[in-house]
Amino acid sequence: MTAPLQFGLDTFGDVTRDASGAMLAHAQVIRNVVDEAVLADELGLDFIGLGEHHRADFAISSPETVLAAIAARTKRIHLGSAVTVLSSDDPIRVFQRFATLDALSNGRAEVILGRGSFTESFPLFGFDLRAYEALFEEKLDLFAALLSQKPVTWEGKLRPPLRDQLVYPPVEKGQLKTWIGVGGSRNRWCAPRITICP
Amino acid sequence: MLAIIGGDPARFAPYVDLYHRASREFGRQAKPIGVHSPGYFAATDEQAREELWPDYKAMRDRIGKERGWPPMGRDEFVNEAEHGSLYVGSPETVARKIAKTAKALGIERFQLKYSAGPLPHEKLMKSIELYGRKVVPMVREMMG
Repeated sequence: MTAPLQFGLDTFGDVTRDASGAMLAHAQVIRNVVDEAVLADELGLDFIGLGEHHRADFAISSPETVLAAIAARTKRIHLGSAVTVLSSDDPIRVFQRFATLDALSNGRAEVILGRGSFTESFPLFGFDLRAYEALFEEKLDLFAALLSQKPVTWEGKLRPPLRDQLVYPPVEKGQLKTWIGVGGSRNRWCAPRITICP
Repeated sequence: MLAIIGGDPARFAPYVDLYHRASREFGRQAKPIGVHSPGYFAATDEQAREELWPDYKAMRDRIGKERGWPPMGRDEFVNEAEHGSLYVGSPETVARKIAKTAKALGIERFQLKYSAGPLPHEKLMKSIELYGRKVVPMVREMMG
Protein backbone atom coordinates (compact mmCIF):
# COMPACT_ATOMS: atom_id res chain seq x y z
CA MET A 1 0.00 0.00 0.00
CA THR A 2 1.70 3.18 -1.16
CA ALA A 3 -0.90 5.66 0.07
CA PRO A 4 -3.67 5.52 2.70
CA LEU A 5 -6.91 4.11 1.36
CA GLN A 6 -9.41 6.75 0.23
CA PHE A 7 -13.15 6.28 0.60
CA GLY A 8 -15.65 7.37 -2.01
CA LEU A 9 -19.30 7.12 -2.99
CA ASP A 10 -20.79 6.58 -6.44
CA THR A 11 -24.35 6.97 -7.67
CA PHE A 12 -26.09 7.11 -11.02
CA GLY A 13 -28.97 9.12 -9.56
CA ASP A 14 -31.03 5.93 -9.39
CA VAL A 15 -34.70 6.94 -9.46
CA THR A 16 -36.00 6.18 -5.95
CA ARG A 17 -39.41 5.77 -4.39
CA ASP A 18 -40.88 7.80 -1.52
CA ALA A 19 -42.39 6.48 1.72
CA SER A 20 -45.70 5.75 -0.01
CA GLY A 21 -43.97 3.73 -2.74
CA ALA A 22 -44.46 6.31 -5.51
CA MET A 23 -41.48 6.99 -7.76
CA LEU A 24 -39.90 10.43 -7.33
CA ALA A 25 -39.54 12.88 -10.20
CA HIS A 26 -36.10 12.84 -11.84
CA ALA A 27 -35.66 16.48 -10.79
CA GLN A 28 -36.23 15.58 -7.11
CA VAL A 29 -33.77 12.69 -7.35
CA ILE A 30 -31.13 15.08 -8.69
CA ARG A 31 -31.71 17.46 -5.76
CA ASN A 32 -31.49 14.53 -3.35
CA VAL A 33 -28.12 13.49 -4.81
CA VAL A 34 -26.80 16.97 -3.99
CA ASP A 35 -27.93 16.50 -0.36
CA GLU A 36 -26.28 13.07 -0.24
CA ALA A 37 -23.00 14.58 -1.44
CA VAL A 38 -23.21 17.39 1.12
CA LEU A 39 -23.63 14.78 3.88
CA ALA A 40 -20.64 12.83 2.50
CA ASP A 41 -18.54 16.01 2.64
CA GLU A 42 -19.62 16.73 6.22
CA LEU A 43 -18.58 13.18 7.19
CA GLY A 44 -15.12 13.64 5.67
CA LEU A 45 -15.52 11.13 2.83
CA ASP A 46 -12.96 11.62 0.06
CA PHE A 47 -14.90 11.41 -3.19
CA ILE A 48 -18.36 11.45 -4.79
CA GLY A 49 -18.74 10.09 -8.31
CA LEU A 50 -21.82 10.54 -10.51
CA GLY A 51 -22.38 8.21 -13.43
CA GLU A 52 -23.75 9.33 -16.82
CA HIS A 53 -26.81 7.46 -18.10
CA HIS A 54 -29.52 8.18 -20.66
CA ARG A 55 -32.46 6.09 -19.49
CA ALA A 56 -35.58 6.30 -17.33
CA ASP A 57 -34.22 4.51 -14.25
CA PHE A 58 -31.26 6.88 -13.71
CA ALA A 59 -31.75 10.65 -13.33
CA ILE A 60 -28.23 11.89 -14.07
CA SER A 61 -27.30 12.41 -17.72
CA SER A 62 -25.05 15.42 -17.13
CA PRO A 63 -22.85 14.61 -14.10
CA GLU A 64 -20.71 17.75 -14.15
CA THR A 65 -23.77 20.00 -13.93
CA VAL A 66 -24.86 18.27 -10.72
CA LEU A 67 -21.23 18.28 -9.52
CA ALA A 68 -21.10 22.05 -10.01
CA ALA A 69 -24.02 22.45 -7.60
CA ILE A 70 -22.28 20.10 -5.15
CA ALA A 71 -19.06 22.13 -5.51
CA ALA A 72 -20.87 25.23 -4.32
CA ARG A 73 -22.15 23.50 -1.16
CA THR A 74 -19.05 21.50 -0.14
CA LYS A 75 -15.51 22.25 0.95
CA ARG A 76 -13.30 19.18 0.84
CA ILE A 77 -14.80 16.23 -1.02
CA HIS A 78 -13.44 15.49 -4.49
CA LEU A 79 -15.98 15.55 -7.32
CA GLY A 80 -15.99 13.21 -10.26
CA SER A 81 -17.91 11.30 -12.86
CA ALA A 82 -18.37 7.54 -12.61
CA VAL A 83 -18.15 7.36 -15.53
CA THR A 84 -18.16 9.92 -18.35
CA VAL A 85 -18.94 8.01 -21.55
CA LEU A 86 -16.06 9.47 -23.54
CA SER A 87 -16.84 7.40 -26.65
CA SER A 88 -20.08 9.29 -27.31
CA ASP A 89 -18.85 12.69 -26.16
CA ASP A 90 -16.42 15.31 -27.47
CA PRO A 91 -13.09 15.00 -25.63
CA ILE A 92 -12.47 18.75 -25.87
CA ARG A 93 -15.88 19.54 -24.35
CA VAL A 94 -15.33 16.95 -21.61
CA PHE A 95 -12.01 18.59 -20.76
CA GLN A 96 -13.59 22.06 -20.74
CA ARG A 97 -16.47 21.00 -18.50
CA PHE A 98 -14.21 19.34 -15.94
CA ALA A 99 -11.68 22.19 -16.06
CA THR A 100 -14.61 24.50 -15.28
CA LEU A 101 -15.70 22.22 -12.41
CA ASP A 102 -12.11 22.25 -11.18
CA ALA A 103 -12.18 26.06 -11.13
CA LEU A 104 -15.50 26.19 -9.27
CA SER A 105 -14.36 23.61 -6.68
CA ASN A 106 -10.83 24.94 -6.15
CA GLY A 107 -9.09 21.92 -7.62
CA ARG A 108 -11.40 19.10 -6.54
CA ALA A 109 -12.49 17.84 -9.98
CA GLU A 110 -11.67 14.36 -11.23
CA VAL A 111 -12.89 12.69 -14.39
CA ILE A 112 -13.34 8.96 -14.81
CA LEU A 113 -13.50 8.12 -18.50
CA GLY A 114 -15.19 4.96 -19.72
CA ARG A 115 -16.49 3.17 -22.77
CA GLY A 116 -19.98 2.88 -21.29
CA SER A 117 -21.60 -0.24 -19.91
CA PHE A 118 -24.98 0.88 -21.21
CA THR A 119 -25.25 1.73 -24.91
CA GLU A 120 -28.08 4.31 -25.06
CA SER A 121 -25.69 7.24 -25.58
CA PHE A 122 -24.45 5.93 -28.96
CA PRO A 123 -27.69 6.21 -30.98
CA LEU A 124 -28.75 9.24 -28.89
CA PHE A 125 -25.73 11.29 -29.96
CA GLY A 126 -25.38 9.75 -33.41
CA PHE A 127 -22.44 7.40 -32.91
CA ASP A 128 -22.08 3.95 -34.40
CA LEU A 129 -22.00 1.29 -31.71
CA ARG A 130 -19.90 -0.87 -34.03
CA ALA A 131 -17.09 1.66 -33.50
CA TYR A 132 -17.28 1.11 -29.70
CA GLU A 133 -13.55 0.45 -29.31
CA ALA A 134 -12.26 2.80 -32.03
CA LEU A 135 -14.24 5.75 -30.64
CA PHE A 136 -12.85 5.23 -27.15
CA GLU A 137 -9.24 4.70 -28.21
CA GLU A 138 -9.08 7.76 -30.44
CA LYS A 139 -10.95 10.08 -28.09
CA LEU A 140 -8.81 8.95 -25.17
CA ASP A 141 -5.70 9.69 -27.21
CA LEU A 142 -6.88 13.27 -27.83
CA PHE A 143 -7.99 13.71 -24.21
CA ALA A 144 -4.54 12.57 -23.00
CA ALA A 145 -2.93 15.14 -25.31
CA LEU A 146 -5.10 17.92 -23.81
CA LEU A 147 -3.96 17.07 -20.27
CA SER A 148 -0.51 18.52 -20.93
CA GLN A 149 -2.12 21.99 -21.29
CA LYS A 150 0.41 22.85 -23.97
CA PRO A 151 -0.60 23.73 -27.54
CA VAL A 152 -1.90 20.48 -29.03
CA THR A 153 -1.12 19.28 -32.53
CA TRP A 154 -3.08 16.10 -33.10
CA GLU A 155 -4.48 14.01 -35.90
CA GLY A 156 -6.99 11.18 -35.85
CA LYS A 157 -9.50 9.46 -38.10
CA LEU A 158 -12.76 10.62 -36.53
CA ARG A 159 -12.42 14.41 -36.65
CA PRO A 160 -10.38 17.11 -38.41
CA PRO A 161 -6.81 17.59 -37.14
CA LEU A 162 -5.77 20.20 -34.58
CA ARG A 163 -2.73 22.44 -34.89
CA ASP A 164 -1.16 24.27 -31.93
CA GLN A 165 -4.58 24.33 -30.30
CA LEU A 166 -5.05 25.59 -26.73
CA VAL A 167 -8.21 24.71 -24.82
CA TYR A 168 -9.81 26.94 -22.19
CA PRO A 169 -10.04 27.26 -19.29
CA PRO A 170 -6.74 25.66 -18.33
CA VAL A 171 -6.70 23.71 -15.07
CA GLU A 172 -5.30 26.04 -12.44
CA LYS A 173 -2.87 23.72 -10.65
CA GLY A 174 -1.20 20.67 -12.16
CA GLN A 175 -3.13 18.34 -14.44
CA LEU A 176 -6.80 17.39 -14.36
CA LYS A 177 -6.98 14.17 -12.31
CA THR A 178 -8.06 11.51 -14.79
CA TRP A 179 -8.96 7.86 -14.29
CA ILE A 180 -10.00 5.20 -16.75
CA GLY A 181 -13.02 3.14 -15.72
CA VAL A 182 -12.88 -0.52 -16.73
CA GLY A 183 -15.07 -3.53 -16.10
CA GLY A 184 -14.28 -7.18 -15.77
CA SER A 185 -16.11 -8.44 -18.82
CA ARG A 186 -13.43 -7.53 -21.30
CA ASN A 187 -9.69 -7.91 -21.21
CA ARG A 188 -9.17 -4.66 -23.05
CA TRP A 189 -7.55 -2.22 -20.70
CA CYS A 190 -6.41 0.80 -22.62
CA ALA A 191 -3.27 0.97 -24.72
CA PRO A 192 -0.15 1.41 -22.57
CA ARG A 193 1.14 4.13 -24.88
CA ILE A 194 -1.50 6.45 -23.45
CA THR A 195 0.04 8.01 -20.35
CA ILE A 196 -3.05 8.23 -18.17
CA CYS A 197 -3.95 4.53 -18.08
CA PRO A 198 -5.78 3.38 -16.08
CA MET B 1 -10.91 2.44 -11.62
CA LEU B 2 -12.09 -1.16 -11.65
CA ALA B 3 -15.85 -1.71 -11.70
CA ILE B 4 -16.21 -4.97 -9.78
CA ILE B 5 -19.93 -5.61 -9.61
CA GLY B 6 -20.03 -9.37 -9.17
CA GLY B 7 -17.88 -12.29 -8.07
CA ASP B 8 -14.79 -12.51 -5.90
CA PRO B 9 -12.86 -9.21 -6.09
CA ALA B 10 -9.55 -11.08 -5.73
CA ARG B 11 -10.00 -12.47 -9.24
CA PHE B 12 -9.08 -8.98 -10.52
CA ALA B 13 -5.54 -9.38 -9.13
CA PRO B 14 -4.18 -10.58 -12.51
CA TYR B 15 -5.47 -7.34 -14.12
CA VAL B 16 -3.68 -5.27 -11.50
CA ASP B 17 -0.52 -7.29 -12.01
CA LEU B 18 -0.78 -6.88 -15.79
CA TYR B 19 -1.14 -3.12 -15.41
CA HIS B 20 1.94 -2.89 -13.19
CA ARG B 21 3.97 -5.05 -15.58
CA ALA B 22 2.86 -3.01 -18.61
CA SER B 23 3.72 0.24 -16.82
CA ARG B 24 7.23 -1.05 -16.06
CA GLU B 25 7.69 -2.28 -19.60
CA PHE B 26 6.76 1.11 -21.05
CA GLY B 27 8.85 2.97 -18.46
CA ARG B 28 5.83 4.67 -16.93
CA GLN B 29 4.99 5.14 -13.29
CA ALA B 30 1.80 3.23 -12.46
CA LYS B 31 -1.17 5.42 -11.49
CA PRO B 32 -3.38 4.64 -8.48
CA ILE B 33 -5.92 1.86 -8.83
CA GLY B 34 -9.41 2.05 -7.34
CA VAL B 35 -12.41 -0.24 -7.01
CA HIS B 36 -16.09 0.61 -7.55
CA SER B 37 -18.55 -1.90 -6.04
CA PRO B 38 -22.16 -1.84 -4.85
CA GLY B 39 -23.26 -1.97 -1.21
CA TYR B 40 -25.57 -0.85 1.57
CA PHE B 41 -25.01 -0.50 5.31
CA ALA B 42 -27.39 -0.77 8.29
CA ALA B 43 -27.09 -1.55 12.01
CA THR B 44 -27.10 -5.32 11.54
CA ASP B 45 -26.36 -7.73 8.69
CA GLU B 46 -29.96 -8.90 8.70
CA GLN B 47 -31.42 -5.40 8.55
CA ALA B 48 -29.07 -4.34 5.73
CA ARG B 49 -29.87 -7.43 3.67
CA GLU B 50 -33.64 -7.23 4.21
CA GLU B 51 -33.77 -3.53 3.32
CA LEU B 52 -31.55 -3.83 0.24
CA TRP B 53 -32.80 -7.10 -1.24
CA PRO B 54 -36.11 -6.10 -2.92
CA ASP B 55 -34.74 -2.91 -4.47
CA TYR B 56 -31.43 -4.47 -5.48
CA LYS B 57 -33.33 -7.27 -7.17
CA ALA B 58 -35.65 -4.77 -8.89
CA MET B 59 -32.67 -2.88 -10.31
CA ARG B 60 -30.77 -6.02 -11.34
CA ASP B 61 -33.80 -7.63 -12.95
CA ARG B 62 -34.66 -4.47 -14.88
CA ILE B 63 -31.19 -4.35 -16.42
CA GLY B 64 -31.02 -8.13 -16.69
CA LYS B 65 -34.21 -8.22 -18.76
CA GLU B 66 -32.50 -6.07 -21.41
CA ARG B 67 -29.33 -8.15 -21.34
CA GLY B 68 -30.83 -11.61 -21.21
CA TRP B 69 -29.91 -12.41 -17.61
CA PRO B 70 -32.24 -14.58 -15.51
CA PRO B 71 -33.99 -12.88 -12.54
CA MET B 72 -31.76 -12.58 -9.47
CA GLY B 73 -32.38 -15.24 -6.83
CA ARG B 74 -31.95 -14.74 -3.13
CA ASP B 75 -29.17 -17.36 -3.15
CA GLU B 76 -27.14 -15.30 -5.62
CA PHE B 77 -27.69 -12.17 -3.49
CA VAL B 78 -26.49 -13.96 -0.35
CA ASN B 79 -23.54 -15.46 -2.21
CA GLU B 80 -22.52 -12.01 -3.49
CA ALA B 81 -22.81 -10.64 0.07
CA GLU B 82 -20.74 -13.44 1.60
CA HIS B 83 -18.20 -14.25 -1.11
CA GLY B 84 -18.63 -11.72 -3.91
CA SER B 85 -18.56 -7.98 -4.44
CA LEU B 86 -21.75 -6.81 -2.72
CA TYR B 87 -20.79 -4.85 0.43
CA VAL B 88 -24.06 -5.26 2.33
CA GLY B 89 -24.23 -5.62 6.10
CA SER B 90 -23.35 -4.13 9.46
CA PRO B 91 -20.40 -1.72 9.70
CA GLU B 92 -18.19 -4.53 11.07
CA THR B 93 -19.07 -6.92 8.26
CA VAL B 94 -18.53 -4.45 5.42
CA ALA B 95 -15.39 -2.95 6.96
CA ARG B 96 -13.79 -6.41 7.02
CA LYS B 97 -14.84 -6.96 3.42
CA ILE B 98 -13.51 -3.60 2.20
CA ALA B 99 -10.17 -4.13 4.01
CA LYS B 100 -9.87 -7.60 2.50
CA THR B 101 -10.42 -6.26 -1.04
CA ALA B 102 -8.04 -3.34 -0.49
CA LYS B 103 -5.29 -5.69 0.71
CA ALA B 104 -5.90 -8.27 -2.04
CA LEU B 105 -5.67 -5.73 -4.87
CA GLY B 106 -3.41 -3.02 -3.41
CA ILE B 107 -5.88 -0.24 -4.22
CA GLU B 108 -5.74 3.39 -3.17
CA ARG B 109 -9.47 4.12 -3.33
CA PHE B 110 -12.71 2.25 -2.65
CA GLN B 111 -15.85 3.74 -4.20
CA LEU B 112 -19.14 2.40 -2.88
CA LYS B 113 -22.04 2.48 -5.35
CA TYR B 114 -24.46 3.36 -2.57
CA SER B 115 -27.67 3.84 -4.52
CA ALA B 116 -29.63 0.72 -5.45
CA GLY B 117 -32.53 1.25 -7.81
CA PRO B 118 -35.67 2.44 -5.98
CA LEU B 119 -34.12 2.24 -2.45
CA PRO B 120 -35.34 5.51 -0.85
CA HIS B 121 -33.19 8.61 -0.30
CA GLU B 122 -33.71 8.50 3.50
CA LYS B 123 -32.19 5.01 3.67
CA LEU B 124 -29.29 6.04 1.44
CA MET B 125 -28.59 8.95 3.81
CA LYS B 126 -28.44 6.54 6.78
CA SER B 127 -26.11 4.22 4.88
CA ILE B 128 -23.79 7.16 3.99
CA GLU B 129 -23.79 8.22 7.63
CA LEU B 130 -22.74 4.74 8.80
CA TYR B 131 -20.03 4.70 6.12
CA GLY B 132 -18.50 7.94 7.36
CA ARG B 133 -18.96 7.46 11.10
CA LYS B 134 -18.40 3.72 11.56
CA VAL B 135 -17.09 1.89 8.49
CA VAL B 136 -14.25 4.22 7.46
CA PRO B 137 -12.62 4.35 10.95
CA MET B 138 -12.89 0.54 11.21
CA VAL B 139 -11.28 -0.04 7.81
CA ARG B 140 -8.49 2.41 8.65
CA GLU B 141 -7.78 0.47 11.84
CA MET B 142 -7.81 -2.86 10.00
CA MET B 143 -5.44 -1.51 7.35
CA GLY B 144 -3.03 -0.41 10.10
